[in-house]
Amino acid sequence: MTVLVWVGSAHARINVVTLPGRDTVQLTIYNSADLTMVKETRHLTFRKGLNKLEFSWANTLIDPTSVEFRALTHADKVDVLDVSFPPRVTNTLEWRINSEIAGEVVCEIRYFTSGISWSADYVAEANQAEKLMALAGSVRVNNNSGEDYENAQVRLVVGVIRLVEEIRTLATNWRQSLPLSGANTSVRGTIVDGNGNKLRFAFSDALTVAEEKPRQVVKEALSEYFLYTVEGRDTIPTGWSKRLPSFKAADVPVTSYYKFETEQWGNNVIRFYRFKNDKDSRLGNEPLPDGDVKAFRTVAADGLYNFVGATSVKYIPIGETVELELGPDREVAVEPKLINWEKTDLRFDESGGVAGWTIKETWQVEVQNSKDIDITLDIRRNFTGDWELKTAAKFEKVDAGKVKFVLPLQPREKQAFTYELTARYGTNVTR
Amino acid sequence: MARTLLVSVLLVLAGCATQRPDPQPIFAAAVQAHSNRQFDTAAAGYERILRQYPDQPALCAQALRSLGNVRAMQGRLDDAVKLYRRVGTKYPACDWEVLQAWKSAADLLWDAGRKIEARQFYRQIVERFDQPDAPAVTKLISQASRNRL
Repeated sequence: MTVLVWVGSAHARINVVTLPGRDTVQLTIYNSADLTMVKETRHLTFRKGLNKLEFSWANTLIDPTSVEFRALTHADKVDVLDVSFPPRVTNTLEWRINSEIAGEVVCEIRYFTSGISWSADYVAEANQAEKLMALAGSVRVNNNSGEDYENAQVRLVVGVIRLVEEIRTLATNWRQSLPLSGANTSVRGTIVDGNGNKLRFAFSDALTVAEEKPRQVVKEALSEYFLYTVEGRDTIPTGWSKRLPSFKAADVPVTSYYKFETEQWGNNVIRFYRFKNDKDSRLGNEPLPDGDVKAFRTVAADGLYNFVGATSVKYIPIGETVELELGPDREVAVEPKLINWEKTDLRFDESGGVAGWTIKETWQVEVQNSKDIDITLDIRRNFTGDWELKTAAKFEKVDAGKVKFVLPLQPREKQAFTYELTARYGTNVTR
Repeated sequence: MARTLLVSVLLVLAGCATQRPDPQPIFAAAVQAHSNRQFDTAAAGYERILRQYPDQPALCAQALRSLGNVRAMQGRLDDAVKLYRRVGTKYPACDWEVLQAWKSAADLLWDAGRKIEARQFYRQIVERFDQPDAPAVTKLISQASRNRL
C-alpha cells in the first residue's frame, strides 16, 4: 500500500511534495473472522487549498471499500471533498482534500484487511517441588496480507462474541469477491472493545467501521470477549510470522496432581498442572487466549529443566481454574490386580434362562511414586450394575458409576490398598 | 467405440479445464504494464481476462473498468466511457467496481467539459449508492456527486 500527497490549486501544476511514512500503526486482529482493522497515523504536510492524497491497495488484501481518512489535528480546517479513481493506475483512490491551513496535519487512515492471523502459546516452568511456576505467554502473528506493517502495535480480540459469527459471514463473502473486488454483502454489527468503545460495522455493498466514544458497556458481550494488547511494537512484514512476547508472570501457585483411569488413559498415569487465572495467582489481568502450552520442571538446583509435557488450552476467562493435561508420567505407577472373581446368586426365569446374577471381585491396587517430590494421586475406578464397595481405603463417589481414591504419596513411596466390589445384575438388583 | 470416444472427449475437456491458467498473474502483468504506460500490453491483458474468465464476474468487472482506464489514458474518451458504462450493465452485482466505473466516467466527462453527460453518471451514483448505511468512502463519493447535479 502506498500513500502519496499531492498539492496544487486550480491554476498550479500538481506536484508530489511529500511521501510520508507511517508514524504509528495499530492492528486489531479478529482472528475468527480473518479480519484485521488497521489504524495508521501519518504527519502530512498540506498546502493551503486543494491537496490530493493517493491510497493504493494494489497487491494487498486491503478492502478498499473500508478505507477512511480523517484529520486528527486541525480537523475543523481540513475537509475531504471527494474521492476519485485516477485512470493511470489500478487499485488506487485519490482523496481531494481542502485545507484552510498550510503545514503539518496529523492524519489517520483506517481500513480492514484480511490475511493476518494470530495464535498464542505459553511456556510454563514449574519449580522442583511443582508448587510454583513461571508462566510466559507469546503471540505469533502471521502476516499474509500483502502489506508490511512497521512498528505495529498489535491488539488481539480474545474470546468469542456473538457478533463474530456475523463477521465471519462477512469475511467469507468478502473473500469470495476479493482480492479484485469489494464486498457485496449486507451484514451489520457492533462490537464493544475492552475500553467500552463501540466499533460499528455496516457492511452493505462494502465494509466500514466507525468508532464511538464510550457508551454503555454491553456486559453480556464483554463477559466472553477481551481486547488484548501486546506490549511494545514490532515490524511484521508480509509473508512473515512474528512471535511477540505478551506477558510473563513469576511464582504462579500451581497444583500438580496425577490421575489414573483405565477407561481414559489405559495403564498410564497422567500428570496435571492446575492454576487459576486470578490476581492471587499473579495473573488475572486479562483472559488468556486459546493456545499451546509447553511445560517444563526444574530438576536440579543449577536450573536444569526437564520437559514435562505439552497440551493445548481453550480460552481462559479471568478467575477461571485451568487444568493442563500434560501427558503420561512414567515415574508414577498404578497397577490394579484382580485377586479374586466370583459369580454368585444365579437366578433363573421360567424358561430356564439366567435372570439375575452377582459378581464379586477383589482388587489390589499397588501404587508407586518414583519421584523425588510429594505428589497427589487420583485413582478413578468405574463400576457397572447395582454395585457396592467395601474397603479400608478412603474413597469418594464421583457419580453413579465412578469412585475416586485420592492418595498423597511421599517421595519414593509405595502403597497398596484393596477393595471388594459386589455388583448385582438383573433380578438381583436391590435398588 | 462410442463410449471410448465419449471418455476421450471428457478427458480432453477436463484437461482443458485444468489447464486454464491462474488469472491473477495475467491480471498482475496487465496492471504492471498499465503502471508502466504500456497501454497496448495492458489492454491485451485485460481483454484476455474478459475473454477467458467470463465465469469470474468480480475479476472481469475490474478488468473491464481497468480497460476503461487504459482508454482514458490513451485519450479515447468515448471508448473509456462506454467501457465504464458496461461495467454497470454487465456486472451490476459488483457494487464497488460499478461505483468506481461510474465515478471515473463522470469525472472524465466533467473534466472534458461534457457536463450534461457527466451529470447522468453522477445522478446514477446518487440514486444507487446514497444510502444511510453506506461506507464512508461511498458516502463521500455520493455527496460529491450530488454537489455536481
